[in-house]
Amino acid sequence: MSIDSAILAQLRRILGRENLFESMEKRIVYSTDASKAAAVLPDLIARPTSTEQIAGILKLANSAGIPVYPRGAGSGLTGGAVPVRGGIVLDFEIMNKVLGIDRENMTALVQPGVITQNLQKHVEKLGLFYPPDPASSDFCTIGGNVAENSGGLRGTKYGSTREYVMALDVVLASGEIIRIGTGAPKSVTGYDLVRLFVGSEGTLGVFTEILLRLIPLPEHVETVLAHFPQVECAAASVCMMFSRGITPRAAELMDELAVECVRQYKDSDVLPREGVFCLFEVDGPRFAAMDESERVVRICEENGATNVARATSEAEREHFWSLRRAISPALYNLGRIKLNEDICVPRSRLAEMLARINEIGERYSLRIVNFGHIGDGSIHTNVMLEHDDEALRKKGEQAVGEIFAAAVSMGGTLSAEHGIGLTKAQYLGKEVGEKEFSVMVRLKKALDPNGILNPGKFIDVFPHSQ
Amino acid sequence: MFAELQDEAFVARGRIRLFEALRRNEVAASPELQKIMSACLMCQRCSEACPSGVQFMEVLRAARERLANELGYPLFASLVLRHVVPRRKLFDFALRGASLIQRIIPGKKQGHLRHLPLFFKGGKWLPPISTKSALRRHLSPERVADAKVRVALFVGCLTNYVYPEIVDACVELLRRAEIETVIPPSQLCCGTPAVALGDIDAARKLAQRNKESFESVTCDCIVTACASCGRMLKHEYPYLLGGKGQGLGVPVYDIAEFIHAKTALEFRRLDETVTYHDPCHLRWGQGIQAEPRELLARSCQFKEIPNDMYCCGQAGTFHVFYPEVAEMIGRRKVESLTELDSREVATGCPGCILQLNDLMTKAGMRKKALHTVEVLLRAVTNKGNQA
Ligand SMILES: Cc1cc2nc3c(=O)[nH]c(=O)nc-3n(C[C@H](O)[C@H](O)[C@H](O)COP(=O)(O)OP(=O)(O)OC[C@H]3O[C@@H](n4cnc5c(N)ncnc54)[C@H](O)[C@@H]3O)c2cc1C
Repeated sequence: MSIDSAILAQLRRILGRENLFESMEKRIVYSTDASKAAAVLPDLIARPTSTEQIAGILKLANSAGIPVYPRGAGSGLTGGAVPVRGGIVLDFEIMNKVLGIDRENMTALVQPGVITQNLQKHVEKLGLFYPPDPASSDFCTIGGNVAENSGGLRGTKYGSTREYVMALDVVLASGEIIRIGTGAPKSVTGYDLVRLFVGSEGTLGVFTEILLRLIPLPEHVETVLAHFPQVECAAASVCMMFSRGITPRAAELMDELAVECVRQYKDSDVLPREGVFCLFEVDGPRFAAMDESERVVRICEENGATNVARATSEAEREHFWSLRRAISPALYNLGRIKLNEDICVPRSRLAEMLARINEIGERYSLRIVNFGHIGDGSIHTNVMLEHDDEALRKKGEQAVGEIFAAAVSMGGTLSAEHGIGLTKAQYLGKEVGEKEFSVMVRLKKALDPNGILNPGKFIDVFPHSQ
Repeated sequence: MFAELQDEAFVARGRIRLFEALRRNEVAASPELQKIMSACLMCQRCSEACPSGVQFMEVLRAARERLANELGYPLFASLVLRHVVPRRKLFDFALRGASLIQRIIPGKKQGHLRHLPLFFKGGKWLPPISTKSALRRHLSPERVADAKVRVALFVGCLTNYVYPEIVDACVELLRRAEIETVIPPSQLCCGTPAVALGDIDAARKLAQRNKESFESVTCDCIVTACASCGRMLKHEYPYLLGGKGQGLGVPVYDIAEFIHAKTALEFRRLDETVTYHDPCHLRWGQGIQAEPRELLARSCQFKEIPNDMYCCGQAGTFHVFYPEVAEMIGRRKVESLTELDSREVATGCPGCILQLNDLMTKAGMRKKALHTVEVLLRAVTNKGNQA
């Protein structure tokens, strides 16, 4: 699979020298992603600027059997963009234009390298709204979001990226360019290929243009921060909101350990020493949202909240969110390494699931921090390891395996939004059966017979050995 | 930074990976690596935003030091930093020479010094070097009767030679707050450019000399009106001067932080609308953003720049070596300023003042950047209506 000088010359011709990185320095930088799961040097980093260039690169790579790894911002948490078998990283950072906004039909046509938050800000100026909002939105890309079917902070009400992808230009491994989906609001012509490609983690094809659905920007947002004695109360509040007809756009949990971490990190005595926090947001027309937020407050109180505060100013809202945002950096006070998973269970099982995780943590004597988007049943569980040690890591992985098994047994899933990639491949068999996996493999073979697209990820790993 | 180049090597995470690789000898110290490490504004926004809680400045300092040791420093800069800057008289002399040249060069823009590295690139224009530096202006500061507090002012090079009026304003404001100011005349450059170039030895020498200089006067604390000097004194000196959180031995404050926390000055609100630009080394480097805003809101018709988070792009040595990128960054800043009707942009850093004025002049805007204390002083001495 080695890249010889003839191929190199052709790549240079396709891309131009300045958009082909070859130096050791650059190869190191593009060797890993936010998962830090593995670091493998790619041979080259290609920075295409057009669909045609990408088609040319893939045609070449396909005939020479060179692996190609699409990459957005490398913020993926499951190692999706790590070039595990060497080859070419296809980096979308400079294919980052918003190609057009159709205000009347509320759609946006974008290149895959557009930073999610840039698109959000751009359309919000026009009174439009792109709801998917991963916590990484100020650096992750739309292409990465589509490939991971990312969720985020507003998923409870607005769903994941999938709900907003209408059509895609895809370059297949062979270099063929296909256009799937449509700008029509409804369409049932043939198989729904868009749904197949969304969430395919760079293993089936490369997206080069993405047509996204937008919605009107909600007039008003209300933010409520509630303090509960235990996680069960927070979970019960969420369920009660739905049963009373309120769909909060966000419901973010911070469990005891998460609060403790943030307390230490922010050196803040304001945060209580016990209990958990849950951050809620409701949006809509001003009066409706205000009315709903009052009901949210009451529901929290009914479920035993010890303190409930409604943000009365932008500064206060920002302060509430800053607590939530502080969790990620604060976690490192508890351990050098975190095994970060994003399970999801049906809402009614949330409390049970959280209790199970607690029990698993105690049994393994590991600290497990839970937070995340509980409104849609997802929980970010972080198994903290104090140091990088083989035995400790094994123990952590066993605990993670048990958490996954518990989630699946409750009708839940291994991954709500971060994908399987590299880090969860070994667990996939806990949820996906052998027959189902073999259908996936057949699809992969049909679209990428030489296995050049993002090799070494879940689809190439047989997960049923355990 | 990344927003302009879209290249993973130029984000903190890429640099951290590279430094790890350098430490493990997976990559050799190379000019490319040096370029990647030096093309950082040191705005510190990354440390603030980091989901992993990494203190990037420590990594960067170590990386630059190691690269400089192996590859050498830019020769001219290092000569200046090691031999001219530590000698106040020589430094004064050099700058007076420059000021002279500035006046005799036949320039289209009178009174502006052409920035040397940009000489061939169309040029940036510096404001005139003051004929009398701040340190020489304030050789024997006035005594303040019954002063309860004595502060020592750290002036900083740009303020000293180009914007001495900032020092005048500080001294006057403090005097009105019944605080006595001393300005140790033997103080030197804080060493920020040396750290930026990886010349940690030169920086440490400057730090030691400054420590001696400030120990020679009695004071309760040190105050500075330069965001970069402030960051340096607060966060790098403890490291440079041998750990134990010692630093200069007395607390260091930014002037806005100090006035906000320790004085009860009364401002009569001016009619002018003024906006505020966050210097990176104040906002991200020292976590100071509310204080200057609150002071300004009491002193004038204060208006925020809408959705503004932009750096001005000056960033000390950065704009000398990467003028084009600095310009790109600065352009966004200027765009965000055009929407505002205020004539004046207050800020807390002479570097930002210089850059903003250059950018705004080039864009043909009739706006002026100045130091927050200059606005505050006007409000304190304001005889007009009390709004
Ligand atoms: C602090 C932090 C918070 C996060 N919060 C959330 C969250 O709230 N919700 C959430 O869902 N995720 C979250 N993530 C995970 C991550 O940001 C998302 O998975 C994101 O979608 C990845 O985007 P990226 O551009 O960084 O993609 P990368 O990491 O570069 O790539 C991810 C995958 O997409 C593929 N890919 C990228 N571009 C293309 C393309 N054009 N065509 C085909 N395949 C492509 C890659 O091959 C890879 O498999 C978070 C990450 C961090 C670091």
